[in-house]
Amino acid sequence: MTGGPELMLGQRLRREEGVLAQEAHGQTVLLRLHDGGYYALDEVGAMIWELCDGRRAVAEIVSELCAEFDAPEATVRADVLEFIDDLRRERLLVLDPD
Amino acid sequence: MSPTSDYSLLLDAIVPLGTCRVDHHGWDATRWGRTLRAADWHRLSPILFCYLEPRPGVPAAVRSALERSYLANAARNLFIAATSRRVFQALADADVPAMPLKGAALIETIYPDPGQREMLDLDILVPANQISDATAALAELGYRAAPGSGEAQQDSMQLQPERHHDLPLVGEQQLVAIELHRHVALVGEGNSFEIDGFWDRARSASDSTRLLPAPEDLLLHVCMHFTRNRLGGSYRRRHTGGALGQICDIARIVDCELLDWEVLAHTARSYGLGATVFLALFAARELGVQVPEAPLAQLRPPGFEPSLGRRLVSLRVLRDGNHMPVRGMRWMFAPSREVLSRGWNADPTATRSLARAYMRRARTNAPLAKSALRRPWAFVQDQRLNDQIRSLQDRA
Repeated sequence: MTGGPELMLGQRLRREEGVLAQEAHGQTVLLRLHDGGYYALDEVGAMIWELCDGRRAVAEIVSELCAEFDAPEATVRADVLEFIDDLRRERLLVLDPD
Repeated sequence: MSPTSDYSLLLDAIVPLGTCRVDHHGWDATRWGRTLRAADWHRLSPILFCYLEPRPGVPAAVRSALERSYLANAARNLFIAATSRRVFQALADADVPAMPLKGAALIETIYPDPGQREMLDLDILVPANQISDATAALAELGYRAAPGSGEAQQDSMQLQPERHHDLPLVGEQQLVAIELHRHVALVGEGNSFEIDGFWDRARSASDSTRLLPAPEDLLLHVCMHFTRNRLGGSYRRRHTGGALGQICDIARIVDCELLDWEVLAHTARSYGLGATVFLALFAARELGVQVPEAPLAQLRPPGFEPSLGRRLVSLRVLRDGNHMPVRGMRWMFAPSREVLSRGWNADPTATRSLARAYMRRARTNAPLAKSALRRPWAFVQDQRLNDQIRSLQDRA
């Protein structure tokens, strides 16, 4: 099961309305206001969350992470796509229609 | 006073000394279990997580349990903070001056990481003559009076109508209750407590929607709650938890705020709260908080013996669990007509209705009565301690 149509590298994502985020002792807590569901992101997850600002395409996010962590692009891309898909499924991120 | 090692770890987390009070390496599961229960009772699980997180020697299961508590609390406080922003903006738009109290005020002033401080509801002080404006402003956001039941409701009703707070307001999701306070004192508590002074001394918050209590008032209010809660709670909360959480609040205020101890001592005495504040500060100092000697000397009620303060700490602070009711036999077995009518929906003029309410109440309180009867000596000891503390408060 995925969070919607398959994600393309050129697409942009933004944070869902009504989701709050806060740094909490080295992690980032996300709270979905309408039902109180919450999630904790580690450092890498928090970075992806921050980069999903509606302006960057998925490919740009992958590039930035590759540069930051000096990791093979194929690995990073697969991980990012899987992670973003999880966040979409949990209604924390949405595809930016623009 | 040397606390048992279960509490020593909690004390290390909230009032660290130069060296650790206890070495947790090699603790077995039973001991960790006791510590986790104590942390939960004292509302310190999130702080214990932050304290232990960088330290070795903590079993993965313990770390994980504490982390869950911390993250859940961080998320809850995130929700309360979002609610708080909407509520204060609505009150500001309605021209109702407002001031957060208790947890909401403490998180804003002395807890840089809000995930560390557990908060049950959102307490807001508003001027007594604008309480209906405030209620109307919150009704616009969907907040309505929560239907109370039993003595939870009665506890609110017994507060002087012109003092303290109305019934809690809850939104549709019922995730957080908002209590609008007219005052911070209960009936008979600080009889000369002028709430105007609380407003006059308040400071500005980071935005213009609200004020914040002055540092001395922040400490005064925490001390009031500490001593009030140690004397016993409602049928629901009995001997209330969170004692070390309150000591942590006191420690952080002492540590982080620029306190004018003269002002605190003067205010507490002039409000008739000298003994109440003294007992909280004495307990905090016993547990390692750096409370200066001078204000303690100024607030010390006549006839106070340190052994009484230490008994308060050992019986009411370094404890966890609902071990004993402390309100007395009369409260348990012979409630007043008013208690039955206000708290248990009895018609005070109808004997049958009163009898039914009495039975409903008796069924609810049966576990308390049983525990008192099982430990009569502890019950007497509890009663005596309460009498001694009340006597100090009366003398002050």
